[in-house]
Amino acid sequence: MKPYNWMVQCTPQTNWIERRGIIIWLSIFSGILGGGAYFTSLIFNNLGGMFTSWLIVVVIKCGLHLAHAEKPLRLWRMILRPQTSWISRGLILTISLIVLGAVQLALTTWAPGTPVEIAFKMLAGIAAFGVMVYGGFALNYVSGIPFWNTSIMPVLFILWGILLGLAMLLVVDRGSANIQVAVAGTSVLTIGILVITTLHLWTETYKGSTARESVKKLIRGYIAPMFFIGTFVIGLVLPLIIILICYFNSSLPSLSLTVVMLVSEVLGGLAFTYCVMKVGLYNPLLAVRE
Amino acid sequence: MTRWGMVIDLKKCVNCYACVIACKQEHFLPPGKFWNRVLVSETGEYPLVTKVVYPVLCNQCKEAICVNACPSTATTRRNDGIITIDPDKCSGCQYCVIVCPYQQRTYQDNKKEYFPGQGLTELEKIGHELYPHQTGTVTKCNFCQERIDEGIKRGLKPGIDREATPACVITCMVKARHFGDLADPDSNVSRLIQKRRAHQLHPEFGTEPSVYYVE
Repeated sequence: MKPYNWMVQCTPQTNWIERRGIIIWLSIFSGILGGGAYFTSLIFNNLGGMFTSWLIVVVIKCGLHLAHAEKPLRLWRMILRPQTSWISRGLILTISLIVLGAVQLALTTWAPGTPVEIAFKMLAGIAAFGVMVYGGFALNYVSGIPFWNTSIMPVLFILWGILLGLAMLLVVDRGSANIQVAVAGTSVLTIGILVITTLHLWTETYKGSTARESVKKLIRGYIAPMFFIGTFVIGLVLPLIIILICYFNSSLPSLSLTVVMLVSEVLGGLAFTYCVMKVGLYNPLLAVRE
Repeated sequence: MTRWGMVIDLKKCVNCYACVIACKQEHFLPPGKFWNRVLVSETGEYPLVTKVVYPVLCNQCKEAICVNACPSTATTRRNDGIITIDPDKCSGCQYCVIVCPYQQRTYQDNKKEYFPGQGLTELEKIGHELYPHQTGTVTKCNFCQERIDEGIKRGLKPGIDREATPACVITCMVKARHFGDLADPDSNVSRLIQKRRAHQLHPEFGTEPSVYYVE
């Protein structure tokens, strides 16, 4: 962008996707993955899934936040404004998931079925749901970027989170009867994401020139191959094809196929969040070239 | 209660960038960092082309999104309406940079020298002591709050007395910038806003900026 176009035309946000901002993209994705997988594992009562997703949140998500912070000793301050800031709420939810999750994992291992364990499961479930979705609300709050400023954003984060959680369950929970529900859930969620993403792009084209520019960038710009191949083909269509093939063969996906599904959905989720962050364009400050 | 505000007369602005330089000098801003900018654009097609010049700075919004978004309470709104950032509290998450619809916040990523490889000049060294912009924090225009506070202490009136008025306002050679109390209906800025039908940037965001423009 030429200097004289800056703020006069649509300006891309760069702070959260370029240079060190890449870490923010990865931490937002790890929140969707970790929170979604924990939430799904809780629903299916799978201890392995819970532990794996708890580790994702503790090691990857927290590690990325620490890596991004130039002043890590001040990170604690970020919990001080939960009444209005989604970042503050997100950090509190993440800390809650780490603490409550640790207690709940211990209780599920050594005292399963007790009322205390059930109470902690509910609390950890709320925290996990929050970790999965708060990134969507943080983006939705940005009124200057019309492509993000939509209530569909948190919905998409929830759908991706549960989809990724189900993909993980298909790998770690193979022996149980839950696998059929997980397969059915995956197909429904995949179709849901495809439909909602398409609807989101369609509605954005009616929202104004900046939102339309974001959609154009997504479907025709240099980011388009990543969006279509990464998000749609690898992240959504490939797992759906695997499920359909298994359905018509009247069999459940084998371990190797579920691993392929997990990897492709993780790649798809990464591509989805990257594309969303990358096409975040600010409204021009001066509306002279509308 | 006082609410400091600015009115910029776009008809008078000659696009000289003196305000930009005055701001950089006043706050010892490092290379590439601006709290005050002049946006230049063109509208229309040949032969009916109009040059559009907009000096922009932090709008010190009454309903500031950045204050609500800042998770570490580093960004606060003073009683006089100035939005300030406490560099000792800022955790550098940059969410405020993202949420500002006017893109007026700057992340202080590293301290560059004006003459790379030649070390800091004497002026830069003084600047680093007087205005130690911390790396890894966010900075922005603060309506020269030091000048205002110091001026009020000395019994001066911001917007009237030079020593108590923001640097960009007193530097403007064509007097395109006016500074004063928006809460006072008789102040110079309030009268200009009423008389010249001033407008704010993107009022649809509901942020109620304290910087107005008249054409």
